[in-house]
Amino acid sequence: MTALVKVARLHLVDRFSYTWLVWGVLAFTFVINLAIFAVVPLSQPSGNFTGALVTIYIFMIVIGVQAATRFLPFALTLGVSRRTYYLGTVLLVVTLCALYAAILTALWALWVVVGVGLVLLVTWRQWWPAVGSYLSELNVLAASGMLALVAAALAGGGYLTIRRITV
Amino acid sequence: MTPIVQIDHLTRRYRGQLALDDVSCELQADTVTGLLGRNGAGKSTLMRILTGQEFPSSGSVLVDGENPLENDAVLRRMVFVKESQVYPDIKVKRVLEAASWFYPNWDADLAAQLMDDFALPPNRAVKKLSRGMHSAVGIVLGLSARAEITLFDEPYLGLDAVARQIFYDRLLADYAEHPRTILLSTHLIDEVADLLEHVLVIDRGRIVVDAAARKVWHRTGIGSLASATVAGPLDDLARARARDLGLEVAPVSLQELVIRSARFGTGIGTEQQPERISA
Repeated sequence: MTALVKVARLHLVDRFSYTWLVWGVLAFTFVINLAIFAVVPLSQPSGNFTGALVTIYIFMIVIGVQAATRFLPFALTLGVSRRTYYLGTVLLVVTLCALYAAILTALWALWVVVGVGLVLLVTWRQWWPAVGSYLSELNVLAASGMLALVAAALAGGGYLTIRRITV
Repeated sequence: MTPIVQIDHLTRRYRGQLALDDVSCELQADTVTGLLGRNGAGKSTLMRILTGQEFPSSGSVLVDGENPLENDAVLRRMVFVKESQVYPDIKVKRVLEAASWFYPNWDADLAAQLMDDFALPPNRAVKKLSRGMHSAVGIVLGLSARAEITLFDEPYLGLDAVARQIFYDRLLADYAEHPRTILLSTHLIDEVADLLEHVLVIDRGRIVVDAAARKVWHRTGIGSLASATVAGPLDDLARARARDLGLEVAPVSLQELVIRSARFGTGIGTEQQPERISA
C-alpha cells in the first residue's frame, strides 16, 4: 500500500498540472463565459450552457499521456514494478475524480447560495438550478454508469498493455 | 565473494536481431563491475533485463536468487540510471525529492554536495538543462540513492572531463564508505580503468571477457615500430624466444583489450592474460 501511495505522490510532484493548469484554466473559462452570458440574451429558455467542464477531461487526458511517456520511465528507474506503478496511478486517478467531483459540487452549492442573495445573479440563477435538475435526472445517472463501465474496461485494457511495456 | 546477480544462458532476440546471445555471467556483491563494449553490443539490453525493464527471450536472471521481473521486493533495492534518462516535466530539486521517497538509504547531504559539485541549478526545469547537466542529475540520483545494486548506463553523456572526474571520485569515495554492487557501462574505458574491480566485455551480444580488472589491464608506453596483441599468457619458452629476438612483452591496457576482443571477437577468459608483443 505504501508503495502505491509513493507512486501517487510521484505524480503529484508535478504540482502545476494538477492545480493551476486544470483549475486555473477552468476558472478563466468560467469567467469568460459569465462575461459573455452577461451581454448576450438567453439562447434557450432553460438557460445557457457551455462545455467548459470538458477542460478537466482534456487536461486529464494530457496528464494521462504524460503518465505513460514521462512518469513511467522515471518510476522504473526508481525500482518500481509496472504493476505497482499502474495501481498507484489508478489510486491517484480515483482519488482525484472524487476530489474534483466534491470541489465542483461544493462550488455549485456555493454558487446557488450566493446567487439567491445577490440581485445581480438572478438572471444566472436559472442556469444553475437547471444544471441541478440535469444532474438529478435518472438518464444522466444511467449515462454516468455507462461511462464508468467504459472507463473500467479501458483501465483493464491499460493494465494488460502496461504489463508488457518497455521504455 | 558471493554473486548477487546470476545470469544464465540469457538470450534476447529482437525481430531477427540477436541483442544478447547466450550470456552467462555473475556480478559479485559489493564490487564495482565495468560493462564494456561497442555501441549496440548489448550493454543496455543486459542492464534493462537485470532491472526487469526488458523481457528475456530465453535464459534467466536471478538477483539475490529471485527473478527481478515485476518483483517489487527485488526492484526496490536497485536504481538504474540510463543514458538520456527520461524525467517528468519538473524541476531538478523535485526529481531528487521524488527519488528520495523510494530509497530508505537516500543521503540528502550527499545529494546537496553533488549538486554543488556539478553546479546544478535546483530550480531549473529538467527539460531546460544542458546535455551535461541532464546527465549530472542522473548521477546525483544514482549515487544519493545508495541502492544496494546501482546501475549506470553510460551516465556521463555530455559531461566535460572535469565533471566526469568528479563523478569517478565521488563514486569511489562513496563506495568506499558504503560498499554496494555497482555496474557501470561505458565507452570511456581508460578513464574508468582505475575504478573497476571486475570487467565484462560484451561484443555482438556475447560476453568476450569476464575477468578481474587487475588481471586484464596494465598500462605500457607505446613507442614501438610494430606491436601485436595475443590472447593468453606466453609460456616461458615463448618469452625466452621473444627476448632473444629483441621483442618486448607487456600486458595490454584495458581499452586496447576491449578494442582487440571486440574487433576480432576473441574470447578471453579469466585464466588468460592477454599480452602485447612489440618490437
